This record gives sequence, C-alpha cells and structure tokens, in this order.
Amino acid sequence: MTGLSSAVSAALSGLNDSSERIGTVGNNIANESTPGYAARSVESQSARDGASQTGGGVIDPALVKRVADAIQASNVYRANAANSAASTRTTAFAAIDQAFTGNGDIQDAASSFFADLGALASDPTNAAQVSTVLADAQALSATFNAASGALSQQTAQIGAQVKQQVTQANTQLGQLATLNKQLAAAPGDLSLLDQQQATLSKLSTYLDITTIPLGDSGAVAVMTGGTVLVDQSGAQDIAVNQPQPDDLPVLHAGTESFPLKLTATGGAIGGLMSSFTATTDAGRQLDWTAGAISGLVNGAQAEGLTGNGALGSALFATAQPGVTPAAGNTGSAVLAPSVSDPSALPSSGQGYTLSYSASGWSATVTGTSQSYALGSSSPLTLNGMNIAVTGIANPGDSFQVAPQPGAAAAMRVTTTNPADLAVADPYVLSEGSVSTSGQVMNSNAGTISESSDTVLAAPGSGAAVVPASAFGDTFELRFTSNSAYDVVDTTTATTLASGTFSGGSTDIAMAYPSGSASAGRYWQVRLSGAPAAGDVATLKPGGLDSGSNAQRMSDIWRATDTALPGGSVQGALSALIGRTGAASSAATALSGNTASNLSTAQADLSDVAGVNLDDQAEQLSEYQQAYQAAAKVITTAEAMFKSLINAV
Amino acid sequence: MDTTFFTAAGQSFAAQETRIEQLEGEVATGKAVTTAAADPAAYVGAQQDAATVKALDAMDASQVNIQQNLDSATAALGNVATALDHVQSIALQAMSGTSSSDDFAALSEQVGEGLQQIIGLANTQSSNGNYIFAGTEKQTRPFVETPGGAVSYVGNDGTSTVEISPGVTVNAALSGSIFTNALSGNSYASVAAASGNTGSATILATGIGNTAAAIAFQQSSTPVTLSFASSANGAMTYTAISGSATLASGVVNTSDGATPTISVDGVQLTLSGNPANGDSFAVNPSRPQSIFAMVKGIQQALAAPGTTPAARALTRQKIGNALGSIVQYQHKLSGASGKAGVILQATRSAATANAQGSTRAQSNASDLVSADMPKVLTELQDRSATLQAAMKAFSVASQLSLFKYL
Repeated sequence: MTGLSSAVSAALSGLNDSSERIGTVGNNIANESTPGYAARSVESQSARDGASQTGGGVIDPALVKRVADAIQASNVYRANAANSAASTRTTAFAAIDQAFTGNGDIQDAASSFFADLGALASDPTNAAQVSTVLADAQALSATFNAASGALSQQTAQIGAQVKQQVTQANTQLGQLATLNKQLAAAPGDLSLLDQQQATLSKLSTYLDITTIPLGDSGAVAVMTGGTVLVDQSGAQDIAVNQPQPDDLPVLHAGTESFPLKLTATGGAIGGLMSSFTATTDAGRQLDWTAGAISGLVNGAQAEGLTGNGALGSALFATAQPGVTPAAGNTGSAVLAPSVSDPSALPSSGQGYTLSYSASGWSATVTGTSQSYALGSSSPLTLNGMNIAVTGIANPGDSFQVAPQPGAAAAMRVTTTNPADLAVADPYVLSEGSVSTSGQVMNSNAGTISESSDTVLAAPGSGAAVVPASAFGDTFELRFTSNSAYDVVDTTTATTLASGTFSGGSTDIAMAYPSGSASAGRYWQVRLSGAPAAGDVATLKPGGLDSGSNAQRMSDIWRATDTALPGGSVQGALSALIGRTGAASSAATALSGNTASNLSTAQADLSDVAGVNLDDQAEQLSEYQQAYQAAAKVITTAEAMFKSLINAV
Repeated sequence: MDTTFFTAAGQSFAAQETRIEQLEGEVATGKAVTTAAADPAAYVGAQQDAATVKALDAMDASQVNIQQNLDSATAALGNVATALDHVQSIALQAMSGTSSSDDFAALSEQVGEGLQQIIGLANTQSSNGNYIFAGTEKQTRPFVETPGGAVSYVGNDGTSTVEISPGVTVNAALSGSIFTNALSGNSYASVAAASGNTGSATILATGIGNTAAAIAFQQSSTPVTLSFASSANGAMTYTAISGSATLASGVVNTSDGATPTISVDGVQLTLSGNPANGDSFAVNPSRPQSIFAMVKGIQQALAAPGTTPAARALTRQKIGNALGSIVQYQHKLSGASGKAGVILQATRSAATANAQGSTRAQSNASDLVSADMPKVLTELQDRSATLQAAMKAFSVASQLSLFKYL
C-alpha cells in the first residue's frame, strides 16, 4: 500500500510544482517588456522519501530564482553611457560644423570679399564695385557674427542641458538609495532587484557608473570615475557650478564637494561637458580667424590711401585683448597687451597664463604645457602680441591673457562710406617736377619710370629709405649723375636720403608714419629707366584712382604665409572647416558604433535574462503535460484503490 | 522570441530609412556631400574650388575693364597718329617753300584743328568716365589748356597693378606722358635760329656721326652756338662754340643747291640756303617737348610766315625742327599702341587660361561633391526593395509564436 499512497503523495507535490512553474511562466510573460525585469525560473529539488513527505516527489514550495547576469548588466550600463555621450556629441559637433558652413558659409563670404577687391583694383573708381566690396565686407562680418552667435547659443543650451540632466541623475541616485534601504529590510527581494536594475540602466544614460555589492542583500554602491555617488549612507547629490554662461560647468558630488571627473564617453552629461569644451574651442578658433582676417585687411587698409587721400583706417572693428589678474596677486603690475600681428597669434585661439618669477615673466598656453620665457623688459613680446607692463610684479603673480576674446562676435564693418576704402597706393611717380597746381613739368634729358611697388616689413637691400617723419610730404629725386640721386623733401627742402641706379633700376622705401597702424612697414617703389644728371622725378602723395592697394588687399586671401595653419588665409579657413567637419564626421561614426555596441550588450543581456516568449510557450506546454501526468498518476492510483476495494 | 527581436528590427528599419532619406536628398540636390561632416576633404576641396572660380570670375571682370580701356586707348592713339600724319603732311608742304601767305594762313588753321583734335583725343574717357591717359589720376582731365594756349599735363606716371590671371599682373594705368615726353628735334639736338638772322639759311639736325658723343651732348645742358661770318675772301665760315670753348670751325660751301653738313658733338647738322654774315643758330640738347607745344609751334609759325626770305627761313627753321619731333611722336605713338596690343593679347590669353581654370575648378568641385546619379538611384532602388523585403519578413516573423500552435 505504501507504493500507492506514496505515488499519490509524490504526484501531488508534482502538481504543486507544476502549478508554481505555470505561475512563474505567467509572471514572465506579463513582465516581458518591464525594464529591469529578469526572467524567473523555478528550481525544483527532489524530496527524500520519508523525510518531509512520504513517496519523495519534489520539495514544496519550489525556489523561484531571478535569472540575472551582473556582468552583462554592467556591459549594458557601460554601453548606455558611451552611446548617450556619443549621440550628444554628434548633435553638438554637427551644430559646430553647421555654424561654420550653414547659413552664410565663412569661406564663401571671405572668398567673395577678396575676389571682389581684385575686380575693384581694375576699376577703382567704379561706385558699384566699391559698394559690392563694402556689401561683401558686411556679409563677411555678419557671417562671423552669426557663426559666433550659433556657437554661444549652443554653449548656453549645453549649460542648461547639463543642469537638467544632473537633476534627472540625482533623482535616479535618490531612488537607488531608497532601493538599497528597502533591500536591507527585504534582502534579495526579486522585484526590488528588478527596479534596481531598471534605475541603474536609466542612470547609466547620464553617467558612466560602476557598482559594488553592499553585502548580500542585493544593495549596491554606485560610483563614477572614482567618486562615490551612492553608498550605505545614501545618495550624494551632484551639483553644477557655472558662474558665467561661458564658463565650463564644474560638477561635484555631495556635501564634501568631491569633484566629478567625467570622460567624453561618460554618459549624456560627460558628452555634454566635452561638447561644451569643443564648442568653446571652436569659438576661440573662430575668434582667431576673425581677428586674423580683420587684422590683415585693416593692416592693408593702413598701407593705402582712401578716396580722401589719407591712409586708410580699420575696415573691421575687432576685439581687444583681455587681461584678468589672478585673485591672489600681491604686486602692483598692470598688463596692457596689444596685438601687433593678428595672424601670428596662436590659431587655437587659446590664451596664455603669464606668471612672474624671479627669473622674469613666462607665458603658458592655456590647456597645454607649452611655455615661453619672456624676460622682464616691457613690452613683453609674445606671438603677435606686445604686452606693456607697468608697476611692479611680485614673484608668483599671474595674469590670464586672452588675445582676441569675442573677436568673431565683435567683428563689424566700421564704415559705409565708399571713400573710406583704401584702394590706392600712398605715393605716385611723375617724371619731372610737379607744380603746386599739379602741373607736370618735364625737361629731363633721360627717362625714369615706375615699374612696380610693394609693401614690406623691412626696406629692400640698397633701397633709399625715406624716414617715417617725412611721410605725406612730396619728394623730388634729383639726379646728380646718371646713376646717383638725392631724395629731397620739397616741403622742408631737406635731403632725406640718397640712392643709386644700378642695373637700370633703384628702390625707394618710404616708412609709414609712426603711430599709424602701418608703422614699421615700408611702401617700396622700384624705378627703372636711364636717367641723366640733372633729371628730376617727383613722388607725391595721391593717385587716388589707382587700384594697387585693392589688389594687395585681394592678395591677402591666397598669399603664402607659413605662419598660418594651412599656409594662407584661405588655407586657414579650410583647415578650420575641415577640422570641425572631420570632428563631426568622427562623432557620427562613433555614435553608430556605440549604438551597435549597445544593441549587442542589450541582446546579450536579453539572451541570458530576458523573457523569450517561445521559451515560455514551450515551458508552459511542458509544465501543463507534467501537471496532467501527475494528475493521471493520482487518477490511476485512485482506480487501483477502487479495484482493490471492489475486490475486497 | 524576446523583445530584442522587435527593438533590433526597429533599429535596422530606422537605419535603412536614414540612408534612404540621405539618398533622396542626394537625388534632390544632386550633391553627395552637403556638409563638411559628410566628407571633410571633399567639402573643403569643393569650397576651395568655388573660391577659385570666384577669384577667376573677378579676374575676368578685371580683364574686361582693362580691355575696354586698352581698346579705347588704341583707338585714341590711332586717331592721334592720323592727326599727326596730317600735321606732318602740312608741315612738309610748308617746307617746300611754294606757298603764298594765304596758303600759310589756311595751313595754320588746319594745324590748329589738328591740335584741338589731339587735345581731345589725349583727354579720351573710357565708357566708365575715367580718363585713359592720366596715370592714376583717372578722374581728373589730364590735359588742361592754360589761358596762354599752352597745354599742361596734370596726371602722373603712377602704376595700378591688377591681377588678370593667377600670378599674372598688368599695369592698368596709362600715363599721359606719351603726349608729353618725346624729345625735341631729332631726339639728340634741336636747332633754333636767332631771331635777328638776315640770311635764308636753315639748319636741321639730320643725323648722328658719333653716337656716344651725341648722347653725351643730349644729356648735357650746354647748348652749342653756331655762328656764321663772311671772311675777307668772300667765303662763309662757321664757328661752333660751347660755353667758351670752340668746338669746330671751317668754311661752308654756299653754292646753289649745296647742303653742307657740319658735325658738332657727334650730331650732324645739315645747312640749306645761305647764311648771312653774323647769322647764328642755337643747337640745344633735345628735351621733352609735348606734342601740343610742338604742334602749336607749327601752327604759330605758319600763322606768321613773314614775307622776306629771312623771315621765311625762320619759319622753315621752326617747322623743319618740328618735323623731327613729329617723327619722335610717331615712334612713341606706334610704340604705345604696340604695347597696348601686347597687354591686350596678354589679357586675352589670360582670359582663355582663366576660362580653362574655371572649368577645371568647377568640374573638380563637381567631382568632389556631386552625387553619382546612376549609383545613387541604383542604391536607392536597392535599399527600398531591401527595406520592403525586411518589413515583409518582419511582419511574417513577428506573427510566429509557439502559442499559436499549442
């Protein structure tokens, strides 16, 4: 008899086990799409006959387990962080690219301006052409303004997003702390663990996180980049510090203000922080470009004559260098930087930290370890800048110097008057002498003519140099022989220089007036011909309808300058646009990779811990059959009992 | 089947749709690269090509301006040459010595008209109102008649550099000195008779015997005075004095029809007619004489030819000397025309080079960023078909469920 009753007893335990399993299948199917849910499985154990129940069977109740995989889950967290960061960066880099090439392409605007100046050179008195050039100049500065505006709008947006996402992350951190407490009260609670996994997954889109188990309850400590955000004591809230909209936001956690270090793959917040840096860097490069173009054009303006007969004034208004003394300075030194050569400023647009020590001043490029020793004598000269120092600096004093802060935003065309465009050469030659009324009187036995002119930083070798103080006066070249001549200032009747014709030509270099924007440079004219003793040639200011200086301005665009990235102004713009384009392209490619990594990680986790409906269907039918079989055992045993009773 | 089946299908559809959208964009715009991010090197390359095209267009505009100026200039120079030829023929006619006083007056009038014509042509304006022969003072009338009837030049000899083709520049300014700077006489010496001469002789610089000496004379500022005296035996002697030095002296053949040559400072002077005792001539080193002053001189000489042989000789002397100057200007004008022609030719060949460069840059830019239509359309079709197939497959596969069969 024991055989029959133990069969009934075992079958009964099987019935219970199967219904437990079917219940689990039901639970699994119901939670198929619940975030964080890991499929449950039932672990049954065969019972020993006589121990807890007669006839063996399975131990009742069966153990329901959560099919979790901590490694796959943490892979998903990491992939989540990398993917959110990459997609954030993709958006930011595309916006930078768009700022430079979208509405109002910088390269396009600049090339139009310089090309039209070239056309103006052939017809300098053409009012329509002058207006075209001025309109081009307006368009160029507007393009820089727009690009700079787009970038600062982007930094403002990123700043706001950082704050918003930090708030979201804090909410998740708070939830995790709460879950930890609940788990301490109910260790290993499966639904709490599901919620924990869902929360961690959400948090990992904001930050890259690592988790460490706190005991066996299932509670976890959460860290990012070595900073603990959640531990037994609770959550450390993340705070954002950004005094000015242009400042890089600084993150720190908890009451102790531990700094938070997020990498460029550190979730949406890490992605935003690196996007912020990329945007401000792009802005600085844009400032440098605007400053370089403005500076070169303004420099060329200062080398030519306007329609009013004066040396041209700046066509583009630009930004002045900025100086910020460090808070702890003890000396009285005041720094006054000025830009001497805009195209020689560092093209990264980065500023310097100037610090004073016993051995003099030194400058370090912000964000790098590159440094320059500047000595102690004012003005300090540094890559296109002169920095005048007044007062006394104490060792340890330091200053932040920004070469052209906000130059792209500040770029403006200073004039709408066509006469302000300096298209003409400063001096013009006439063979013979020229009366005050402008009449040319030529009784030269020989011939003298102008063959070319140029602007140089130093007079050519052998050139007769006319000092800056005489600039603007009329000069006569009086030949004392068929090769030697004196340069005589007709205003003051003094001989300023003398020179010789050799090989049929001679150079005369006129120093631009000191104090002007072109001070230190020379307009040099080459004369050729076969002069005779007693001959006279006159160099007088004017020739307002010449287009030579317009041509010089136009040449800025393509002129080789090895100091510029890309070797020329055009090259520098191409380099800037190419660089941002490549960065955007790389960000997009990376985003594709991180998305596929995330899919893989999610699929891997799902393979292990997800709910597969086919699996569940198969299990359901299996458990149903087991249930039916167990029930059959009971009915069979009952039939056997009946036949036994009938027999008795 | 778990949830990843659905999310993966969704993602791959989205990826396909993104690509299809890109391809549709390429078809719509004809461009494969619309942002720097799409292909930084191609985008930047195309931008540079576009800038090249712009620069070449600007250079073409410069060429048109220069060509217009030069075309006007060559036309004006041609007309000046014609007017000058006319003056020359009048001067030659006057030199023949057959004209009456009335004829001289008529000739003087014709020369006066020629002068006005030349002044007008020298002040030629191009279509944009600029004066062509003014150096860089293009907006000021360069040749101004003063109350005394003289014409002064108020332009300059400045240059204006214009790039007409990458690396090729020309000077767009034409100096008015082509009308002012030719040397008087035969370009070495210019001979004037003393106003008190009583003989019928004229002396003209007709050639050079010693080039170096002639150049030295021209570049010096010391005139040579040639004076004639009758000697006791009736022979006519000449003395050439430079400052206080006597350069040459001798007897001149004054027989009828003789044209004796005297050589002074390397310059050959030809005597015609008969000098009288005490007559003298000043041989001056040639200096620039404006075309206006020279023609004006002819006009004035013709206006008052005189009646006596001596007065006629003075007139002939002035006109004869001016004829030499006319030749200088004829050379100068044809030289200037030739130079303008060379620049015109240069601008034309630059235009051809620019057009080729522009086409090359455009096709290069197009190669870099244009969509390869057959390829794009094929891929678009392919992708659309693939997406459709994938969607069908998904709709079939998503229906698969073991539950249906249990």
